[in-house]
Amino acid sequence: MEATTKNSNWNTGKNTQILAAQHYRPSDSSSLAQQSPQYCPKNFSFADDAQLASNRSRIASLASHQANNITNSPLQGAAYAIHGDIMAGVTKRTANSLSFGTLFPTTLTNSEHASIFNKVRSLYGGDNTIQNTADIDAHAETPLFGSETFTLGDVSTTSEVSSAILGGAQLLKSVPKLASAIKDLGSKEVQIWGFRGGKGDTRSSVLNNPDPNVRAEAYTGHIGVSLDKGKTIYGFGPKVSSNETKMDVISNLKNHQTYSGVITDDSTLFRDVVAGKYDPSNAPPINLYVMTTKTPPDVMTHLNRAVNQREISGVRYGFPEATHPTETVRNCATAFGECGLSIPSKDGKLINYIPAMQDQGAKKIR
Amino acid sequence: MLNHKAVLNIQRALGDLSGEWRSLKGLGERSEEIVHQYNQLLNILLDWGWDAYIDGLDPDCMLPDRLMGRRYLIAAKDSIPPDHAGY
Repeated sequence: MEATTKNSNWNTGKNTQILAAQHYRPSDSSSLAQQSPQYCPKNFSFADDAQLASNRSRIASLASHQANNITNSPLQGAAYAIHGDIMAGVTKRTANSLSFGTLFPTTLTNSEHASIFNKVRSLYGGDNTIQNTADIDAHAETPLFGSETFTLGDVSTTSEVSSAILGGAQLLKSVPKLASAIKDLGSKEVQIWGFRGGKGDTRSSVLNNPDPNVRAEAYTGHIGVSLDKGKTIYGFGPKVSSNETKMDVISNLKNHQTYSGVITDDSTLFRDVVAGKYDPSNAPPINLYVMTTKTPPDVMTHLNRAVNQREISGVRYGFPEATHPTETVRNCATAFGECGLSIPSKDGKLINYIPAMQDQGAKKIR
Repeated sequence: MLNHKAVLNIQRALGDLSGEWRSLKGLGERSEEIVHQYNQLLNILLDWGWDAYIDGLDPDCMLPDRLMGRRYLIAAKDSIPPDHAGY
């Protein structure tokens, strides 16, 4: 019953109808109300089980009658089983579309029979030739998949048809996965490393130190990418002149100045952050995150070209503005997006970027 | 007790304002308005007891030091620049 109860649109198409019907047998009608409570009044209770069982039996008989008529018709073999399933589906559709009072009457009157025929007619597009159970049988024998004449050798067993249909359904379910798998063919893993800058005394210990190996990024925060699983981590930053102090550069960046952009091997910086070298002595340590993203070959080509050339053509470095990135200005968080790399956040602000990394499964390295 | 989510949201708003200020190159009435709003938000954080030194702002969320409020600069143990605008 699973396919039936889960598929709320089961009466919208013939294929769907068959899928639902193959799980359904007339005897299932005894549990219809319990298994498909959406077809019953909300305040319904199963207090009078005996009467309920009796009425279920009537519905089961009706369905059985339809199925028997079909198996006595000129069509033979497994095709009948298919039609039997279809008929069971029609019966179920009919039953489900009826009110509860009609579904479980105390007596099934002629007018109620007529009501059922009306319902069946509606299922076949309002065909007025359906007047009695024989007409229903005749319509049920109409092939659903065209006007071909079935012969014994051509038909499949119910289980074969079911398997084929279910196999098709499974295949359809697999299509997105298949497309994704095809897309992943040839993809490489790129790591994105990131941290927000150290607080407390990290600022003074970094910015007041003239040693270029003491990196200002430990205070500003930084993002890097690795194309070789963390062995080498590249970053994008401003190309500064030798007479500018770290303090000068940060002050200029705050003051809307941009710099030529340069890609550098920042592996040592990231490893030093991992080692806690830049942690403040009087504030929480720096947290560093790493996430992995699958990257298609064409993007890998762009990334490799960029790291080999040590620049991203035409892209300058600047702090994020109201619109970021622009065609000409990016920062460490957005630069590699220019190469087509999928980045977790595009506004360039590390206060948003690092949480976005976490949301996308980044691992906290420290 | 600080509401860290609220603090983070205000810090994000500060980042947006500083980004807008940079877009405007610090020119025009809107830029002045931004600086005013920015320092009002900073004062709210400081009023809440936010520690501007231990939980300082990211540099990309800041205005130039001359436009940062004096109260903030003191709390963050930053020096007050000679050309400070007096906020």
